[in-house]
Amino acid sequence: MRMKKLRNGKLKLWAVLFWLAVWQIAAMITDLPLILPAPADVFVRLYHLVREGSFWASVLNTFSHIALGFSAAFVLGAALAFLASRFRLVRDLLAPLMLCVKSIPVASFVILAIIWFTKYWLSSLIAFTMVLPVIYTNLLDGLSALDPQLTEMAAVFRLSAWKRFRYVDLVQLLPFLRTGLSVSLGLCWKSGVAAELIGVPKGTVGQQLYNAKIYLETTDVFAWTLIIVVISILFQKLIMGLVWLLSRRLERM
Amino acid sequence: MSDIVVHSLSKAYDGKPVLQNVSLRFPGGRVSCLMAPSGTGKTTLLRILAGLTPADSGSVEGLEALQVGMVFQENRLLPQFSALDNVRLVCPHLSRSALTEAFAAMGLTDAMDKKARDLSGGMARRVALLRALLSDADVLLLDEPFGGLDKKTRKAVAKACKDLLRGRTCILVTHDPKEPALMDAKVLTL
Repeated sequence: MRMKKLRNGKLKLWAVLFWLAVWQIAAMITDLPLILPAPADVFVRLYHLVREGSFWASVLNTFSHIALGFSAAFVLGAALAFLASRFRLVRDLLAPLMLCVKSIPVASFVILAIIWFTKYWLSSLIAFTMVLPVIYTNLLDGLSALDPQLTEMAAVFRLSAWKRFRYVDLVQLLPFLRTGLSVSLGLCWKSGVAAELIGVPKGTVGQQLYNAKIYLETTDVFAWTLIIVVISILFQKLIMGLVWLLSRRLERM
Repeated sequence: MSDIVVHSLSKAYDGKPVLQNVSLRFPGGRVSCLMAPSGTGKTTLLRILAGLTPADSGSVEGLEALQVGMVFQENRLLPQFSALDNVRLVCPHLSRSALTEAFAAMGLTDAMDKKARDLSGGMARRVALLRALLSDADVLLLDEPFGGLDKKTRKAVAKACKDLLRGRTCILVTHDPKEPALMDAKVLTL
């Protein structure tokens, strides 16, 4: 019997429209814009926000900080995973640290970060903290799962270190890299903006969201949330697109 | 090319002896066919010669400074790469036309640009064989290289193998009593 492959990644326009209609109906039934604004009102507000200079400044500020934290975590996570796969001492040393970082709630990290550092780097620091263990764990799993038979083949034919890395190891690591990135990309945005919301650094999306909450501007809360979702998806698509291009390139000699 | 001489080689796994005091001489520049029943340590001997497994005792003479190429029991191809790229990885110096000719001799013209993961068992086996034969190796260790090939293909592949060996030392492990004749090989037993 042929099994139908389930695909859960693609968004269907009709499904999006359906949920927008549900939202619209719920807003009409409650008729309390302070609690649940209508989607049309949110989109109008969004249109006005986009035309303000401070909007782009806030978005750029938050984006650059989170992207920086993400990139730093990726580089360090990959380097540590490589070292841990080579040296048991490093692996044993890092195990409790990574477990700790994974288990501590974001809010606790945010409070500690505010006490220890400046608020300016808050979202970078939190994105870094959330992404580091995910990248580290996934790449370490990948490095542990490298096919020993292919490693032996490379040794017998005396492939150079670069060839072994590029053609034998990296290609096997790609699925683990993809999973690690996919999980951490969503995580870094959620945690980064949550950190900004608690720490309220100036000129950030988190601060805008905080102000909207303080002044009970629920439409603004929805609009800013929508912006966060859109940027998060675009960032995810960009990085996963780059990984897709990289994997295509890596499968050619 | 000098002979490869194995002196009193022994190897045990978890206390269970696999090779016990084995001494053999493989003539240089010729094909030697090592025949023995299953479980008598033929693959272990090849792995020791390839430098993949250390022997518990004994020594090997004549392999110093020589490069070894191997066809393992498994094909060990990189599944994401094409058959051509798998071969090119170990012999980047060969031109496309030389590679095309070698693929044709093995009956693999249609398989050249296919990903290794999409090759049939017989095709993958021939690609693994071609990879070793086209490499710069001075000594070739072939562990049941014709496994999974039908009689007709086996004959054609054996002929191509002999052409590509170009006088290099080759140690072939097999169960099939017809293979030594196919390869004009000297028969040795464990």
